[in-house]
Amino acid sequence: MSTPSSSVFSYRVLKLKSSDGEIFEVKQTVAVQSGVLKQMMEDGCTEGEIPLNNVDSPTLAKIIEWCNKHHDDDVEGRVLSQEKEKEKEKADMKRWESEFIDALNRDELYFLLIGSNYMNIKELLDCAAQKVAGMVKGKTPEAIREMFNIQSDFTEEEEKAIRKENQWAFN
Amino acid sequence: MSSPKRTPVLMNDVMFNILVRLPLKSLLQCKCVCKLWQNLISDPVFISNYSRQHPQYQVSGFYLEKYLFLQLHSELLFIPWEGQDEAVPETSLSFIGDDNGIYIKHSCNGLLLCSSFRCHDEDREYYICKPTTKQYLPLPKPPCEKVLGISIAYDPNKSPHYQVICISESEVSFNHRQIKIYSSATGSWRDSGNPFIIFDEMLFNRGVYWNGALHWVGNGDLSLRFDVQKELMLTIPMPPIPEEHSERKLSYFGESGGHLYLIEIYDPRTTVFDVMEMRSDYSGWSVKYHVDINILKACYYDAMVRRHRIVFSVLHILHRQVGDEDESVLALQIRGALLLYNLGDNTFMELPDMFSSGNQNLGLLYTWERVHPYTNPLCYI
Repeated sequence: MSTPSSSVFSYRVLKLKSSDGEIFEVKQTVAVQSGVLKQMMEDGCTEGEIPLNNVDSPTLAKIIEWCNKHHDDDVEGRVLSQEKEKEKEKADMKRWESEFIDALNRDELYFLLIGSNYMNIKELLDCAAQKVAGMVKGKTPEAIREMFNIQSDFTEEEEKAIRKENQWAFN
Repeated sequence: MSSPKRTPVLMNDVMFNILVRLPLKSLLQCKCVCKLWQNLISDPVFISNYSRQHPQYQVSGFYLEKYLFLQLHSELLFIPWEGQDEAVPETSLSFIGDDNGIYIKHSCNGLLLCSSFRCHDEDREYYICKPTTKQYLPLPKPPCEKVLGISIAYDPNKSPHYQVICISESEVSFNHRQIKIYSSATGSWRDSGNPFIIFDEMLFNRGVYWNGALHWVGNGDLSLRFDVQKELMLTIPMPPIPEEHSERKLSYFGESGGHLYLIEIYDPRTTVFDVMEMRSDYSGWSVKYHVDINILKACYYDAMVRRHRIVFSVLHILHRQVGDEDESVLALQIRGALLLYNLGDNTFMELPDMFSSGNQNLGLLYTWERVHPYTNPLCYI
């Protein structure tokens, strides 16, 4: 008799090591949301500590919070008594997501973007990128530079030429 | 005060993910944040991604251009075919702000080549223009006395750079021509090849870009194509001119949906004609559609029939994908109406309100030579 592989899967735990050396234990069923970890599981190389050199502990804690919230919410998969309940659950999740993202300060948000990109967690990356895009929208190039701590490397003439070419966007 | 952590630097792929979500105006503003962002936003992969995610900026159709007496700018109509109505470009190009007015010289895959209108050749300025976003760029003047034809060669799927091909008179002799090429990559003009002799009257002002080459037809036997990459001028085989006629009677020559089409109508009393398509190896023309618009004659008799002559004009051939099928539609003008004639099932429809009262120059028809197809498969460049 064979045991369905998924049940074996769900009890195992991965040890994730943040860039500052902290260890986080995460269930495989949660970790599977990360494309990178999923690949490692499929390749069978998740023994021991998995170093995540691009993610510090506060960010990893946030990422795991997100994944924990989302792993059990396979809305399609569960038997829900009514369509309405499904809708409500989706709406609740949306609200939770925006509260989660809105509570972050700018740098935390950037670290989360970098972390979710590094770990390839698409939904979180999309959500965070959407938030930042909303912050960029409508800002002047000067304000955007400040926002991302970017120095302009255009000469005055070059910038003038780009502005002229894209005049429509600046009206 | 606690010392803040250093603001992290977002990598290109993360920035890509953010920029791709911006509305078009914000995105274009972001071009002048820094060179890295400018390159990111101008990258063909980014552009095609952005265009896929923002179909609301896409439109395809054609301009109809008319030169009116005493008017500074040429008069334009835009006939949308596919895409979003909101993305239809404004029909005035006056935003270019040339004191001599503006008209369209050529169009190619989302770019318009425009020039000063009411002026002498030596004062004429040329512009590359993207009408949906009102972007324009003056070109350096072509280094020649007289421009006989000027066209864009641009395929955004192959390269973000375009070339402008200019056919000019040559100092060598009255019959010599010289090709000059402007490249957007270098920002300058140069001669391509040596001057060559052309005796035929060629429609150099009506180049058609297809298959990596520009094509010109003439009223005689000769037709030419210029392979832009190899910089080679070659001839195109043409259907023979019937013996009783002294010159070719062109009713349409243009590109649509990846096909090069030609329509010739010699008998002004006929409702029957062929839409011919050039074979991709240039071995010759084959009949793609055998058309009989007799049904239109029956419905629009007064507008179409003048002393036994059938008066209409082929403007453009339009394509779209309907399911797995290619749908081809002939845009025709008769006096007072614009018609779309489906070449697949021979049905037709009239485009309502195409000609507003001010525009109802009853006797005047647009011709294919004043049609400029415009598609922005990539919504900005």
